[in-house]
Amino acid sequence: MPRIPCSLRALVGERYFPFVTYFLTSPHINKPIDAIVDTGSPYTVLSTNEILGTRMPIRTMQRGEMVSLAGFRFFRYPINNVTLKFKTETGELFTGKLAVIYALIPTKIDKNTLNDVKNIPNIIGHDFMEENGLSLYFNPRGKIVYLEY
Amino acid sequence: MQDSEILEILKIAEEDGKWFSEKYEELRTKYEGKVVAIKNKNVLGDANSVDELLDKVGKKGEDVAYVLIETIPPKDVSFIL
Repeated sequence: MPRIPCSLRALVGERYFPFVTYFLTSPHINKPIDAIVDTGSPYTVLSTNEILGTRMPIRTMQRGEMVSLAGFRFFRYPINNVTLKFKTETGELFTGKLAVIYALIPTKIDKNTLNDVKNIPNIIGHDFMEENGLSLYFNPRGKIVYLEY
Repeated sequence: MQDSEILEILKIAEEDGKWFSEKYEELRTKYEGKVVAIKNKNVLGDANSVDELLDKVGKKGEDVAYVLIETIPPKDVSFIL
């Protein structure tokens, strides 16, 4: 089956986690994104840092359902009709679609909170993998990781 | 944007991500607790917040959309997603 290479990236501590880079296309954001592949996350999300990096007005984005992550509470602000493009091992593009991706907007926006949540990464979640027929192979000891479609 | 342009952007972003991972321990020694901007396997700048970093990188004339922004948490910080 065709593969999308991933990388092993340090996140915190000594462990390495599966990361993948994709190009996000949406009405307001068009940029490469580095994301952890987290099959335990029901949603695909953009981190607070990623949103801050786009200069989008996060104070006006404090709406949507609430979600708890890594001990912090966020609004999950919906960004509709996005396309995620990945480079395959053969140098082609794999294009996946998602009806909605969520921006993680802290329920409280101040200097301390933004500092506390800055380590939370972008996430490719269960929703994107299921809707686009992807599976993850992750062998941390062998340092082998890729997505298959 | 053409597919060929996207592939080129992804190639650079992946190489920068790989470089960041390979150099992580070295970078952590220097930039622990900071946010860093990386492009073409170089640290363009570091700061305590993304806003501050964007200002620094913008002043260098870089398009922040195509710069890899990573955080380097303190050694004693860990969390479970």
